[in-house]
Amino acid sequence: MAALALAAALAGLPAGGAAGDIRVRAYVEPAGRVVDTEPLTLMVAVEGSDLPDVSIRDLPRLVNLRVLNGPSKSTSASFEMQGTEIRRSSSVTLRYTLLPEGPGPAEIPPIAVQLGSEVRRTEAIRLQVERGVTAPPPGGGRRARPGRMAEGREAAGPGVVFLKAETSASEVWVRQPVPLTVTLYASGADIRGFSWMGFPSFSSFWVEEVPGDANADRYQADVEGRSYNAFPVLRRILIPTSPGEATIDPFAAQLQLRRSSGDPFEDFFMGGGSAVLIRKTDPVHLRVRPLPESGKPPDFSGAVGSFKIRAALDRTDAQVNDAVALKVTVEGDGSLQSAAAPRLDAPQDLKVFEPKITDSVSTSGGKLRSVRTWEWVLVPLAPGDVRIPAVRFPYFDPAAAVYREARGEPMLLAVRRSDRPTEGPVARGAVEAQRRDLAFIKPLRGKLSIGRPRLDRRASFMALLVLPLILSPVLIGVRRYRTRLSQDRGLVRARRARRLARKRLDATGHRIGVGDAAAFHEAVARALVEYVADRFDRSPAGLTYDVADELLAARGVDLAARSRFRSCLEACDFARFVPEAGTASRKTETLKEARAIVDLLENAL
Amino acid sequence: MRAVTRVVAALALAVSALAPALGETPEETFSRGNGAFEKGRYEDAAEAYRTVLRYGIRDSRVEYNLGCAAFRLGRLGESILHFERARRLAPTDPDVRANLDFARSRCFDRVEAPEVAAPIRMVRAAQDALGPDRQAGAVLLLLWLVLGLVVWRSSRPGGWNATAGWVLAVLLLLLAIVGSSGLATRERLEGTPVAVVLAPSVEVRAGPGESNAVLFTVHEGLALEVRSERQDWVQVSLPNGLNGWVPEEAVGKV
Repeated sequence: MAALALAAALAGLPAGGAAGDIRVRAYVEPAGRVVDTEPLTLMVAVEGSDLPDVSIRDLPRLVNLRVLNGPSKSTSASFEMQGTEIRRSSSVTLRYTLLPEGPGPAEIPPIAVQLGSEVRRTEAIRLQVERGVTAPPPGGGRRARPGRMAEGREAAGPGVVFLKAETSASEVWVRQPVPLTVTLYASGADIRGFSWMGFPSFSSFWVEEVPGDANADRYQADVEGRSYNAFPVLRRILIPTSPGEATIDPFAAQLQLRRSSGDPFEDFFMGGGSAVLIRKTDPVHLRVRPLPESGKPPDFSGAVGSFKIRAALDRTDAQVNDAVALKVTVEGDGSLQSAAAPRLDAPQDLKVFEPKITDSVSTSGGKLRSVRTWEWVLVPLAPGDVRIPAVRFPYFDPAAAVYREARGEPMLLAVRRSDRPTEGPVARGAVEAQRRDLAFIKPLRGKLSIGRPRLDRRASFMALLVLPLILSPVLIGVRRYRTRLSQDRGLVRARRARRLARKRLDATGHRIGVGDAAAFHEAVARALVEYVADRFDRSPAGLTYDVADELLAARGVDLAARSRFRSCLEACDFARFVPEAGTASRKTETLKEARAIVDLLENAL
Repeated sequence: MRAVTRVVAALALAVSALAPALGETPEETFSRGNGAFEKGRYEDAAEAYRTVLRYGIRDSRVEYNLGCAAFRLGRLGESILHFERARRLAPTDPDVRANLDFARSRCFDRVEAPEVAAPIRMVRAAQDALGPDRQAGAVLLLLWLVLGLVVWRSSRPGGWNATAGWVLAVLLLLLAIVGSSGLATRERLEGTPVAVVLAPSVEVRAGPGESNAVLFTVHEGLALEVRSERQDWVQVSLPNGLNGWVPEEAVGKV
């Protein structure tokens, strides 16, 4: 396909709005076919008779292009005689080297060029980038696409050079190491220089470098019928960290090739010319499979490869509280990056400290050789033979696609009592637990419970919670009422009148057989009068029978009751002055009547 | 709930009344289990404790001893399950807490829980030491003191003075603190249903069914919060935010 270098059409046009005779233009070289494996040169040229200081602060954001180097600045001046006048013209050129990032459209947006205090902008340049050579050209030994070389930088003669990246497998398990090799194939080309221009990011891999010497490791290879010198210029071991489709982006390198001038003398004595070209690898696609879930041991921690385990104590006998080192080494082909410490079921008679971990990774024969060592410090706490069970380390074997377990040998540590003397007659210091264990079972004391609900879930709790809320207003009311009563003297007397009257009558009744009749009847009459006095909060001293009668009548006591009250009082008066009325039976009758009258009045009032 | 408890209690009483006729009371079975444990016959001990539980007994000592026997038999998940149950029945028992911590330390999984500030840890330790019952009792006591003070001062002719007001304020503050603490303790102990992994390892899936993707794997003894249940599957979550579904038979609900 023909190259589309639209820039060429724009070259030579004056910048819009240019003042004076200063011209600013941008163009690219080569102006013809552009491929993604060869660099471009971007030129920004400023021409005029009297140029100010020229600079470009920043290039705009390029599309599908990146800057390899630049700017480099060059100036030139020329003088022209016009009649008797000498006219001077000068030019400043700023040069950038660009590399297409891939096939497709590319664009250099307008570039702001600073001319003293003035800013001029160039026209945008649009390019169509074609795919360059990244693989051996078809057609065997023939140079199939001579046009891919940058203009003015021809490859050396009929030589063919290409880069190739390849992995040892296209499908691997997660954390299975896979070698990656980038090889430079050269046929009939004299390579004088090689430098890397672009590396992929390896975002989904752990990467281990494999040292190597491309020249020393050079070998002959036939590719599509043509013999090449193959230089393994880069070796890595990749360890995919997550399942899925992984892509390794292209590597890019810049090559300097010797170019024949055609003149044997110049070639011999001057070394000839050189050409610069860029080669890229194709992307490498890798399918990463997740580790199977079936059969995965519970303590599997991610080791993938083929491993062996060694476990050893630094001694087989020790005293109590001695420090004994247990070194466990897991080594083999594969990755131990994520491997956790092997399971160590140490007996309770051993105090186990956190292990010290040392790692060693090497590569040989395209394999990743990993060694990880865990070193525990064990302190025996009690004398006796301590048996340390075999240390186990589960891993996934990618060759067989099964989980396996590396297992060490059981170990025996003979522990003797410490013969170290204690400091002073009594060893002083903090008491520390020698080991931890379960607290012992509980004995049976009393009956077993059928499960009482918690206190806050019992009905009694809720009742006791709610009861005060109900009781408090009642109690407050009652207490207030009683307080008010206690402060009303008349009411208190009235409420106590009947009880006091009964007490007085009872006291009088005890004297029926012993006292004289006059005193008895007087006491009965006084008890009745005092009852009325109490009931009406009056003094009994001035309470005549008539007044008492009026008071009772005023409170609605009926005539019969009042008459009965008065009759009783008059009967008592009569008996005080008539001794024969003071028989015991008569006294009893009077007392009974007085009590009945009190009850009658109490009900009526 | 209360009705169910009563029914269970009645059944338990009936069974325990019947037990002598069958040859052994729950207490005798428990003692037999203790005897087997002391002789190192942990399987016999565990079976005896399970028999006691089948009587309907809900006693922290039985759960605790069964947890000890299961631990000695190497059944870490079952051990933690019964220690958790014992803790719910006797939250203040230091042996239960110690054994639960010890058994948890043997779990394979280490789940990073969100960091809890030191003051909150201290408050929780105090709540655990007191237990929900003591806090509920303190609430009752404080409530009665508050209402006694209110009744006394409100019915007095002199009414309230500054001292009485301050005493009331302090009592109300204490009541609020102890009450909320008791509720928080109960919520922490019983609020979230918990299940313990009993199988050596369990794949936690994205949904309730074998066809769903495996999200992560948990191992024996790990306590999981139960979020929901569906047929034979339980939706669980971890303190670090991971969640998924596990088969019901692989876990034991506390």
